[in-house]
Amino acid sequence: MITIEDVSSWYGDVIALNGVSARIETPVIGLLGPNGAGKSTLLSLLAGLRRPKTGAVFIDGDEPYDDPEVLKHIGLVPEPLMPARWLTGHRFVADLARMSGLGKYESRHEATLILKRLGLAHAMHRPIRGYSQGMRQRVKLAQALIHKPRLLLLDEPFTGLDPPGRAMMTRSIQDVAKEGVQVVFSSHVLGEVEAVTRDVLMLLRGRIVAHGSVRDVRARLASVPLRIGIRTKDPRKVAATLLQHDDVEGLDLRDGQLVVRIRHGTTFFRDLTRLGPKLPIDAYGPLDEDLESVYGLLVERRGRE
Amino acid sequence: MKEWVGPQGTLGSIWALTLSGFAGVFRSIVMWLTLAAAGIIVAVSVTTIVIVSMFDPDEVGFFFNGEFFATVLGILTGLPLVVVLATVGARVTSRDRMLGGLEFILSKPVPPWGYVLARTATPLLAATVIVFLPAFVMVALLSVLVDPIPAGGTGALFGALGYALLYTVGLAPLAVAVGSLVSNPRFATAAWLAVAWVTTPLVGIAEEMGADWWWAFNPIVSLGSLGATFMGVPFVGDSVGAAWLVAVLYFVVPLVVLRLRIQEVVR
Repeated sequence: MITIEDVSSWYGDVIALNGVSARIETPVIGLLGPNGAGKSTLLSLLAGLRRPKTGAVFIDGDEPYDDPEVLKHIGLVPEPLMPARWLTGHRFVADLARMSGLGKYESRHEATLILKRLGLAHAMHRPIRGYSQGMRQRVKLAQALIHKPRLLLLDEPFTGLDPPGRAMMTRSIQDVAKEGVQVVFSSHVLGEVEAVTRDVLMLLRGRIVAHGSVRDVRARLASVPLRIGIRTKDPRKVAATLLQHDDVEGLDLRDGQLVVRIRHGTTFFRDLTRLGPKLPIDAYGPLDEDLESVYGLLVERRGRE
Repeated sequence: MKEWVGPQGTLGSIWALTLSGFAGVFRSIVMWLTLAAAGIIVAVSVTTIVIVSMFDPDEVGFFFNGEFFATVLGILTGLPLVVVLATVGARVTSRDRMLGGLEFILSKPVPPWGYVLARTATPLLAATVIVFLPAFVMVALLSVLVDPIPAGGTGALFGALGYALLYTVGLAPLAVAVGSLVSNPRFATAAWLAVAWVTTPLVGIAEEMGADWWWAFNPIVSLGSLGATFMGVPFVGDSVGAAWLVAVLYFVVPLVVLRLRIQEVVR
């Protein structure tokens, strides 16, 4: 079980995590958030790479920082590129297995087994520099699993993977979880999280904005007001018509564009399509397609609640 | 769940780190040679002159017994080579940072001192293999070419190589410290070489003072030598300040790095 108690962490003037508290008991959880949300920092705290500036993190009741007894039960798949690209995949995994406490022959044997299990039997004796992105991710996963950890941490495991690679990674994470290993992984795409688990912890600018099931988060997203940008030569006429719509919460005129705040996108877009020919509308579209905007709306919503 | 192996596991992890550092030795040497090509050319040129001169029967005794041998062969030939080797520490460590290797390594139960020790052991092992192996071959060749070797000749040779190795022992932790703070291998190399350039004359001072070769590993002792000069500028022989400066460079900096935990620079 992971316990995060009022944790803050910062790099110079940049606050990465700001008073975060959570209790994670689910077998698999996805850390969701845009770049700079604090996902990697939270993972590095859980992995014992950093110490919280304030607060504390506990893995099964113990702080991981500077405690080999805790670290030996943690496996980390960091986001950075592969180091030691001149080594073979087998050698790399075996070396890191030795650092995890396995003996010389045991580490080699276990490296062979885990690499075969992850579908790298054919390539494990080739230098890593010749590996595809998906193969490198699997090597990273192998070194994190070889000492049979209780907690597996993955930082953006799907980055750069093609669809078969994503499917493989998804399956691997789920298999590991079935073996009783608690898994925490980060992503900035809700769909990726949803493919692996039902539980999500959403971060934005160092704060937790949602923690629960993906369904709850989706419902929350659906209930968040969206903004539609409409380009028109007659904003007064368009605004007067749209204000009568039940889903419209408000209107603004910004940079010659009409910005409409709506409650439910589906109904409004259907009606807008119907009304479009009768109104002087040149173009329209959602302004919240990027994830940052959606998260921003979540936070605004949270602030009003 | 696998049981923790204990101390054996810690040693195993340090050994594995050392080996992985070794894997980068050749690449590091090649890149360093590019950076320090001019220095190497000078060293090789001087060495060639020295070796060619050895074949003058009248001068054999001078080159083997005099301080000239130890100073020229030891510093101009041995030191650049040792600098190359010790630079591996800085480069390997900085590469760990640059490529995210620190995250892989330090998420394992490897204590920070284990990391520093392993990365220090890498250049030391490399120095042992690369410096001493050719040295034995060189002595064997000389014993064939020069018969008999003048008294003290082989001693001077091993003396030069020995202090070069000890110089590495002294500087390798510093190289690791520099490398752990800088993520760019080239910059780490340059920074480390700057440190090496400053401290190298201190080794020469020990030789000029006629000190035993093993003095060279400890510039603090060298600095204590009364009347020594550095690039023509006289040292204040008993300068406590200078001695403390070197002490900081050699011991305090690596300790501070340990204290700060290397992983605190992981981002």
